Amino acid sequence: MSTLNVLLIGSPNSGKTTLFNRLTGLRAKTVNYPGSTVDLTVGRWANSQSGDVQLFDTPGVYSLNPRSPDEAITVRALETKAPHAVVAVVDATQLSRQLAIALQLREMFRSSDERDVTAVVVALTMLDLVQREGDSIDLAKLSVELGLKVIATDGEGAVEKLRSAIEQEKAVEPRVVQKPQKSSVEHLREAKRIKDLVTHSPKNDQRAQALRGPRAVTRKIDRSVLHPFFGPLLFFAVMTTLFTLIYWLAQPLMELVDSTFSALANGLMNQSWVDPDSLLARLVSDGLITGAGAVLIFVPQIYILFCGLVFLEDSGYLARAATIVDRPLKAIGLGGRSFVPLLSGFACAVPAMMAARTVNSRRERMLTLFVLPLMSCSARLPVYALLLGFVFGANALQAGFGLAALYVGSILAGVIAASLISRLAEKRGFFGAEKSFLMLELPLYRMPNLILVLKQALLRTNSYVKRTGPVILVLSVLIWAGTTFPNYREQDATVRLEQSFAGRAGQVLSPVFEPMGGDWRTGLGLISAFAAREVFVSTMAIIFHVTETDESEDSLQSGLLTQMREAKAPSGAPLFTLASTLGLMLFFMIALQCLATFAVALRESGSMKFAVTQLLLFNLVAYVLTVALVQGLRFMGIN
Amino acid sequence: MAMPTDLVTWVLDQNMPPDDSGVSLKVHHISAEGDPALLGRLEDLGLGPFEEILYFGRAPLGEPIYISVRETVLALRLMEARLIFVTRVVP
Repeated sequence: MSTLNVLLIGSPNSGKTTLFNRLTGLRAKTVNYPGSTVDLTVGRWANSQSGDVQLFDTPGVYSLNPRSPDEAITVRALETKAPHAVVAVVDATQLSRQLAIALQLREMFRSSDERDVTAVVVALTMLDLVQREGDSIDLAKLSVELGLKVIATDGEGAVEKLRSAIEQEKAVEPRVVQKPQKSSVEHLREAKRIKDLVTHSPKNDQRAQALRGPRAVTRKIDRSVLHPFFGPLLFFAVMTTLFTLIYWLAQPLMELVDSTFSALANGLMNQSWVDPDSLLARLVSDGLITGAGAVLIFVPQIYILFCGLVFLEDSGYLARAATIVDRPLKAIGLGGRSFVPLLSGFACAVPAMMAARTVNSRRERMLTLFVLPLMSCSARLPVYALLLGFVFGANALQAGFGLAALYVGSILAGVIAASLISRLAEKRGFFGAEKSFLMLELPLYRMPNLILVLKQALLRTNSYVKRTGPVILVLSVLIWAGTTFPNYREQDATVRLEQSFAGRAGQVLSPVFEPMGGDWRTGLGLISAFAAREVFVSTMAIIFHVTETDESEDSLQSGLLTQMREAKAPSGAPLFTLASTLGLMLFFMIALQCLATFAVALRESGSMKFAVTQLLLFNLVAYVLTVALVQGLRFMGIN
Repeated sequence: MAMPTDLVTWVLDQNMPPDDSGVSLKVHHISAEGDPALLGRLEDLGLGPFEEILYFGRAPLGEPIYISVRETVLALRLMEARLIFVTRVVP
């Protein structure tokens, strides 16, 4: 018995994903689309007659004459996944447009074998909404007009009916896809003709339709949601809630992940059969277990963010929210859809970059990915706290203003970077020839299916752990090795770090760090911060012999601040001054010192060139600006 | 028959009617001056000559605008709407 390949094809918001989940149950996983990095969801069910059926969910399309990269992916999946059958998912409330896709598929799957099967089954969704509008659709007539089997997906036994229809209509051999001969205009004309023929409606014009049933409800809700005053107010409330969830709700869970992995690493070292000085024990505990922790620490934020995002998307609100903020973001080359990823960036760039998948214009998606690391993520906070503590001492009010200035600075940097890069991209065609556009569909409001929301978020999280996780793991093991070897047996952590490869690199690169007001010690802190920005603080603590015997973090920080105040540069002058500390803050604001972000950028952009350019450019610009600031301040007599 | 005007000029000149059923317009033609991908997408959404569209108003910040075509409600930037030439349908 062989496996049947079946593709699910339909417009965005056609109910494709809901149907996919009903057909495949809970067993689904993500794989790569052929030739791209976009996730393709695959599920299967056992078929008594012909073995397993493998069902692929594809990105929503408006047409199969590909106009966008996403549509091209769906067409490529049609061509390369060797389908025995396709299911055209058609939203019954939008027959006059979505039937065109079914017609296109019928043409693309023209039979060439002796059994005259069509290999295309139409799944009609949201029939209940049509009925609530007081209309009815003659399914038998629709089937005759299309020349395809039509199955309504509402009600009992629909899934079984659809499965058996696929079984009947499947081609014996995988079908070779042919180019459609008719244009989409012709298909659309035909779709409208069929719609008018099969729909029975009290008054069948658009204006009358807009005034009754679910469409009227949606219009009524929209009157508040898109209201000039209440619209932005609601937007603000929803976004604040979303951000609060990923910022505060995720915090205890992230700490739990952190402490669990520390406990695991320590627990291993304390076993009687483990020699804590052996290379293997160190590799497993400090390298692998800590590295796995570095991967999984992002899971709570990713899961929570995607629960919120899928919920908002499925309810119909996310598209409206995008239209509310589109205007200001458009001015800097981004779009309304970029808002949620950018906002999430203030918590962490890793989940935020994954959220940028919801930006449908490719150029805007790439630009969003590019400027995201400038948003002031929470990993910068411990570093800012230390440096602000150095500048302002115990004056909490001034430190508070300083922190606010850093946030404003990060937004300004993002605005400037987005404007500059979008203009450059326009001229040079960096992110593809496609212009940025909005053209967003506003679906009918619906109550999201909560189980489906949780499941979709889990799929995304899984995809992160499986695909980005290994890269982050390898990179963090490399950073650990760089700060540990070659003298990994050395008991004194400070000596071990100083003599490590990273320590030596810091010393060799010392002339590079001097213009920014530092020396090799600052450099080593900056290098180690690539594991995660907050590691800067603990590295500084090790360099300056501040022991962690003190229980609270506050005393660790005050001990470190004392050491920093006393630290001298080789010339004998103080190492940390107002100028050099301000310089460090500026550096942390702009530099992309996070290998996890690099790994996610690599995966989400699908381009090594993109990720490497981003990494080099941000660090170079940060360096140049820091040197300019420190030297400028010194020139003005501020040391 | 009214002279065709582009959707944006039409939008900026008009006040919305008091009810929210939208204003009926008819597509006269689509300008050929736009980005091909954009024009293609307008076509895929069914925006072509003689197509009836409903205008629902503008977003809180004045842009995008909301229209409905072929049972689908769309948000269009002014740049995108500028390609669509319409005539008013007198009820």
